[in-house]
Parts: sequence; C-alpha cells; structure tokens
Amino acid sequence: MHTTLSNIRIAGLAVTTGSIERDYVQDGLAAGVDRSSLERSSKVIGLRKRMVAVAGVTALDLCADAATRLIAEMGIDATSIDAIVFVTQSPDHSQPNNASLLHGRLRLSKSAPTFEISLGCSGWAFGLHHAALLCAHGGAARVLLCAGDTLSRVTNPGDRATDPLFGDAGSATIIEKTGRSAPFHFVLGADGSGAASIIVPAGGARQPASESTRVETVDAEGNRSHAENFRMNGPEVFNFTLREVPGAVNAAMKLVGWTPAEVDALVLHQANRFIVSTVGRKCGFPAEKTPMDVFEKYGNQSSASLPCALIDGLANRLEAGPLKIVGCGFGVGLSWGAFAGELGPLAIAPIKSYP
Amino acid sequence: MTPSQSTFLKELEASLADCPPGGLTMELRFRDQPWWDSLAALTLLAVFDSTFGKPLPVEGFMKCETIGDVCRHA
Repeated sequence: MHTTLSNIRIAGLAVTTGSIERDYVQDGLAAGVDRSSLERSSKVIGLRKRMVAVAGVTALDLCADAATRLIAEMGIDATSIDAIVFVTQSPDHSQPNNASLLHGRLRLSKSAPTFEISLGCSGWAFGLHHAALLCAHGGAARVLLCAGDTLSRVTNPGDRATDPLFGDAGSATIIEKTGRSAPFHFVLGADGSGAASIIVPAGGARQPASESTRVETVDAEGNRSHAENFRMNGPEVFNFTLREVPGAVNAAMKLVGWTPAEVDALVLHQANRFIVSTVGRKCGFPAEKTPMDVFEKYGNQSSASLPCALIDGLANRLEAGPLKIVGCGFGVGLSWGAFAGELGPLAIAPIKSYP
Repeated sequence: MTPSQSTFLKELEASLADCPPGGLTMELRFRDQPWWDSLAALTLLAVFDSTFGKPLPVEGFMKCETIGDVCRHA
C-alpha cells in the first residue's frame, strides 16, 4: 500500500531502555563459547552491549517513562493528546490492551480513543502511519505513538542464535497536525506466507501455555528452546529483508522524488550491524548516511529501534531540522513499512534507562 | 566457470573472515569447513544476492553441499 499524508509533523521523540547492561563476549565466555568466535561475531554483527529490563518492568513501563519525559520536554499538557497508538508484541495482559492502560496512567481526556497494533520490528512505521492518518483525516491535532517490546523475556538463554540479539526498550513519538504542507509518504506491506519465520508458537489461544509447551528441545547447533520462546529462521528472514526492504525504500523515495544523494539519512530497523550495512548498501546509500550504532549499544529493540536510531544518530541535526529522512522497519508478520518525509525541527528527550 | 561465478567466489572469499586465501573452489564442501557457521551462511546469502541479483532460496540452499551446488541456483 502506497500512501501520502499531508499536513502532519513529528513533533517529538523519546526512548527509554531497560537498565541491565549485558555484554555479549562476557556472557558467551560464561556459557563456554570460544573467545575468537565471539569476537568475530561481535565485530561483524555488532554484538557488544544490550540493555534489558529488570524483572517486573514491562514494555508499558518503558513506554510510559518515555512518554512522560517527552511530554515534559515539550512542555505540553497530557490532556492535549487526542489519541494513543500503542505498538507492541509484549502487552501487559491479553486484555485490556497497553494503550488503554497508558491512557489511564497519563490521565488523558475521555475523548481520546486508544488503538493497539500488534507488530514488532516494522511496528513504528505502521504506528506512525496510523497516527498520521488520525491527524490528517481523523480529527486529531496531537497523537501519542508508543512503540516498544521486552523480547528478552521470550528468548531462551540457551539459544545462542536469538538470545544475544535483543534488548528491551519503549519509545514515545508525538505526531501533530500542522497548517503547512508537509507530506509524509508511506509504503506498507505484508507477506503472511512467511509468518512462521518469526514466531512464539505457544502461549496464545492456538496453543495455550502449559507444562508441555515448556519442554525444551535442542537444535542441530545445540541451541535450546521451548514452544513459549521466540524462534526465528535466520536465513529466511535475511532473504525476506533483502527481497522486500530495498524495493520498499526505493518506492518511498520515488513517491517523494528524492535520490539517495538528496537524502540526509536512511534509517533502518536496527536488526544488527551486518543487516543494516548490507541493506543500506543495496538501497544505494553510503555507510555514513545509514545510522547503525544502536544495535551494538542497546541490542535489537524491536519497534523502538527506529526512533532510537533517529535519536542516537541524528539528535542534534533533528532538533535543528529539517532533515530529509527515509526509513524502513521490517520483521514479524512478515511485514515492512517504509517512509519518507522531512523531519525536524523537533523536541527530543535523551535516551535513558529505567528505572 | 562463468565470469559471475568467478566474481561470486572472489567476493565470498573476501567477505568470509576466516576463509584462507584461495580456499574456495566449486567443489568445496563448505559445511565441513572449520570457518562455516551461521554468520558465514548469512554472508553467503548476501554475496549471492549482490552478485547474481536475486536471493538464494533457503530451501534450495539447505540442500547444497558444495559451492558449485550454490552457483547452480544463480
């Protein structure tokens, strides 16, 4: 789906991470993995540090902290927010949704509806589209988008293929209706035939959690997991990324009429350094225009990684703005969401850990 | 060997950190090599895509035993 929405702007960004720092090499050595192998993966993939949440802290808590800090940074009243869009795959409960819980915490107006989108690494782009739609055509003047996950809770510590990848984080983004012409372009897509490539098989209605779903199995490479754990077919997901993301990015740039030389930055979901550099190159962008440091500082933060990459790589320039930004999130679903538009000047609350 | 297959071998060898110079041949059983791991697999998929302009189907890749088998999917 290709969409252009006008008269909207991103007014502010904030990201809150988990507060426990994990070190890839040290954790690997403790698990008995060879140091040279760890250092090679660390160098090529960017596996260094990641920030995970302490027990009891959820994606809702991390997003609430980011939203509270952003509202204070912008000097706005929470009652001026006309709607919440919450994106997560780690909700506090199966019901009610996180958007409603956050509405209560922030004491928003009763006239502000809540929306929840169940997506992961592509989710910020989908949430941004939904929030922009509410501003452009839905009667909202200001929408709070929160996107975040605690995927470290669903990976198995014995699965060296997935567990070292993920950090926990929550983000807050304020989208506003504006009087000036400010088109934002979106290219959203999905391929449900690949849904099994990223999956937590048990714990939902199809296969409820039970003792039998917590029985561990060991794969050919010695990785342990059970049916309530996050599972990913790495080669399939990598091929999906190479197949779909460059085309979506190019389609978004075609909608806005920019070439890579005219774009200030290509911001990609921070899956890992190897994937970001490979996809950025395939999209025709030089490495210096493709922020890719978030993964090695915080880990793969699912739907919070795009706003984190914007803040980590471009904060000062975005505060001064405007910048010509093209971006893309991609992952579970399988799904992808590319966007292109001018960002800034905007308010930024610095990246901070919680509690 | 075709020119694009030759390019594939050169690019792959340059991208695989622990592969010895001249270590890649069409007959090489790559899964048996000490440097073969999940990262090497992703590297092979990336180099295949950039050299031949299309992804290497994972199902087919899982059945490949030699570099020559991989190149037959180009």
